[in-house]
Amino acid sequence: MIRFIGKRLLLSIPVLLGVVFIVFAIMSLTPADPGSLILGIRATPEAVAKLNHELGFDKPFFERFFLYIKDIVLHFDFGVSYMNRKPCLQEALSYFPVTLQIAALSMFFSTVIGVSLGVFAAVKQYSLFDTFFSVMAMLFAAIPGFWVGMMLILIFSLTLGLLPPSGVASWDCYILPTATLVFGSSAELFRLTRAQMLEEIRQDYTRTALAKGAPNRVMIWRHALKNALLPVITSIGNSFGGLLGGAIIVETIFGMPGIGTYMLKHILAKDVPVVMTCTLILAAMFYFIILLVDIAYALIDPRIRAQYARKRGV
Amino acid sequence: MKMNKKARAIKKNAGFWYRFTRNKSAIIGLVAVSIVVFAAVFANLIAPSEDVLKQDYSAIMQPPSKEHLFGTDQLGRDLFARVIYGSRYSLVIGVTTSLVALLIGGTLGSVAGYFGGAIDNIIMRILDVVISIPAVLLALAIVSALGASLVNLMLALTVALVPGVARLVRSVILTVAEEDYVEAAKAYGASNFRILLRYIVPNAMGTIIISTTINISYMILSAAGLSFIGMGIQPPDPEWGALLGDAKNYMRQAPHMLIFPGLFILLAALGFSLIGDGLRDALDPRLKD
Amino acid sequence: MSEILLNVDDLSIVYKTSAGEVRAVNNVSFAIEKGKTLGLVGETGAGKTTTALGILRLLPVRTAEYRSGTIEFEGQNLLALSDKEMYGIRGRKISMVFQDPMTALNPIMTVNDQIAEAIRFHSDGTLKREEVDKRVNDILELVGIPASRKKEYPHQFSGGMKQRIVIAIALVCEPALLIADEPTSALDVTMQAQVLAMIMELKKKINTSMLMISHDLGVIARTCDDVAVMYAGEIIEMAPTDMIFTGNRHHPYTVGLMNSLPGVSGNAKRLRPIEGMMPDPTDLPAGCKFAPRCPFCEERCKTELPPCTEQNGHLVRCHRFA
Repeated sequence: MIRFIGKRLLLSIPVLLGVVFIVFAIMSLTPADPGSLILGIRATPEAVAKLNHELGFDKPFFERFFLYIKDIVLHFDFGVSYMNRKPCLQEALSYFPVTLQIAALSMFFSTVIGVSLGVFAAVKQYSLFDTFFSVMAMLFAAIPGFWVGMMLILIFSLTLGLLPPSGVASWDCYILPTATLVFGSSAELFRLTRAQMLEEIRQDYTRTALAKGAPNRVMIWRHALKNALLPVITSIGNSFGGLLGGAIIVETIFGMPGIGTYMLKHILAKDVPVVMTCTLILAAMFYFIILLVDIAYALIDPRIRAQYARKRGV
Repeated sequence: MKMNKKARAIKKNAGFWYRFTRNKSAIIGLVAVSIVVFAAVFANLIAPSEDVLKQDYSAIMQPPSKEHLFGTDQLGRDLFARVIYGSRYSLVIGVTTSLVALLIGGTLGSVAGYFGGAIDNIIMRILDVVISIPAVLLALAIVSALGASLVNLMLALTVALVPGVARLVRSVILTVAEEDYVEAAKAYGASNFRILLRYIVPNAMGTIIISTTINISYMILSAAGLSFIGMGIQPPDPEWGALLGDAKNYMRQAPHMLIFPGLFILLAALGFSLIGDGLRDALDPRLKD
Repeated sequence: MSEILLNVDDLSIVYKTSAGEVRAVNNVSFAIEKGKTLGLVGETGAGKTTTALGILRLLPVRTAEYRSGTIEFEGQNLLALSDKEMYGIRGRKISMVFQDPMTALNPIMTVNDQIAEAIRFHSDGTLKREEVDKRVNDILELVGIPASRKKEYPHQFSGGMKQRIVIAIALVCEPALLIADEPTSALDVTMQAQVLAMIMELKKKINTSMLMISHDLGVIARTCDDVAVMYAGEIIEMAPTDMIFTGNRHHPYTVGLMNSLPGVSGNAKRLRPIEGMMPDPTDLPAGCKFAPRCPFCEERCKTELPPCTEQNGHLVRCHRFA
């Protein structure tokens, strides 16, 4: 298992390099050049060309990519913003905590709510509880998160005046943004957990468990749930990506100084280094979560472990 | 238990369509999608197309009334017409991106899952890289580089969806590939391609169909989300997310601007997920007993 | 006559489905004496497995319903017990071995844990770790699996070995009754004989009674003291094993079963399969369930349920012997 984790960590180097490459390639599709962006439309073509040369923008694509990687690896330098000439990394990181908090809180609550309600609904299939939450989940999986967010503001802030509609001044500022994301992602986890549980409860091995005298609750929580969780775990990992993306949108609704708000401002200004830095930070974060999920998966399922062992000759 | 086989056989004979139409939520989904499709196809019969852009400064941010069923926006445009025409964007984006992503991602995933080994490694490692970038973020990066437009938005969403589809298909294939009937087929010497097409794909189909219909609603939601933050369809085009982006700025004065575009996104997204569920139940009677 | 361990009386079970009510088990009565083996034989869909699951009360709660009867085990009616009391019966007093060993084990739990779990469920938590370990090792040795492999997972074992593990789980608490539902049908022939011999040996060793379910008359002949033949949810003939295979006072269905079996009826004559199919369990015939396929069918067979008649402990439900 330790070797498996070690290998996955080693593997993260080429993956992250790949991520940098993809993001770099995408961003270099931007038709504008930094010189004219920085200097504005009134600048002379000579001045623009000079600045582009200083920034190395006249070099071929792969050379620029190589230099970019070199700066990151050797100096942890992600370049400077076209807009304000500040180093991207430091500035982006200062916006990061807000986004991470929203995403992590949402992930925690949607997992707890989605998985537990999903199990109960499956166990009590066709009950009032099951029907009610299935209908709710169906609705919330299909409601756009940003719409929920605005409706929450409309109800809880503008009408009832209970919670702040924007900012990060106090802890209760996080309630509405988190709730906005939790509705959608817990609904998805609920549906998946319920479906998986229904499938597992029908498997023969649960009957074996009952036949050896397992109380119903042991059959459900120890046998069926563990098997049902395998796809659910994958989905929790993936939903974190969705939550990061969702957090970007939610920040703009609630006017929170997160990485999303920061990024959008710079996207509109075609500030490529900043957009790239933000994308890379979020992607690295997400990759780390997926890695944890893969490890959890292998811990639970011996068949996956066996497959890794076979494939990699451990 | 065994007796149920009989009952199952009866149900099966009664046919897929019978089972699908007996499912209440599937019918609701079908109705919801039909409304949206109807609105999209016959938009020009429902509301005059010039109303979409016609501004009327004497009637800005009017609440719903007889003349303006959904009210008017900050420029006095008729929201009913805008919402109706908006369904065209959402439908085209949702269906096209999901199907293209299914085609690409499904192929990659089933090849990787079934053959395993080096092929699996190569495909999955490349997808690992792409999937390491959260979908909305990847789409956002692509749109921000290429510029916001309908085609770029669709391209971005498709690229962002492919790795997820491939991963799902691969995991389903891995599960199915361990089933006895696949072993059986291998044993009598069926070719890899045949096993994949005749045994694994049909048995993995249920999950894939559900996920594709859910992807359609997911894509509708994502497109709306990106347009909402100004990174998708641009005003004055009446995409639902873009309408909500406008509404955000006038929440206090005109909450009605918020209601109707949101309800239509809900209608479309919900419709497709309900159909997905209905299909699952109809295709897989096992889940019904 | 020795002590009766299990007495099933007038048991009827139906499944409620959207296609109608499936009458899976109809007024079934039988008894198993201590230490004896009763064979339950019949085609797929005759209600054998439903009967077995019905005894353990493992039928799907939502669809299955007991319509009549009692299941008396060691003097108490299992159908009257609470769920909690049933937990104490299952695995401890009555165990079951299932047909398909490939799916009967939890794929993500070690063999050791799956067996140990059965011990712990019935040991009120006082058992020490070492004792559990020892009992797991002992039972694994009895079923012929090296204890060194107990930390492995089901997917690492072959089908035959998996069935041995399932048997180990069933027998680890030395139950009074073992229900074996087609325990060898899913195995290959060489394995079948081995596993069957092992079951019989262990049965003798721990002195358990057994309900052996099979569609294979060969298996029944080798293992059972008594045989009950099931057809369309009814027991249509029941007798000590040797009487089932000899004499000529038989239900026409039993005769049909014998004739479709190579080897048992002697002579190298052609096999004679029974014509037709079992009746639709949602729409059973009013009279004898076998009437539509019976070569001796008369008018009253179609309308009147034949009575059960006994002769020297040989029960037959047929108008011909009434």
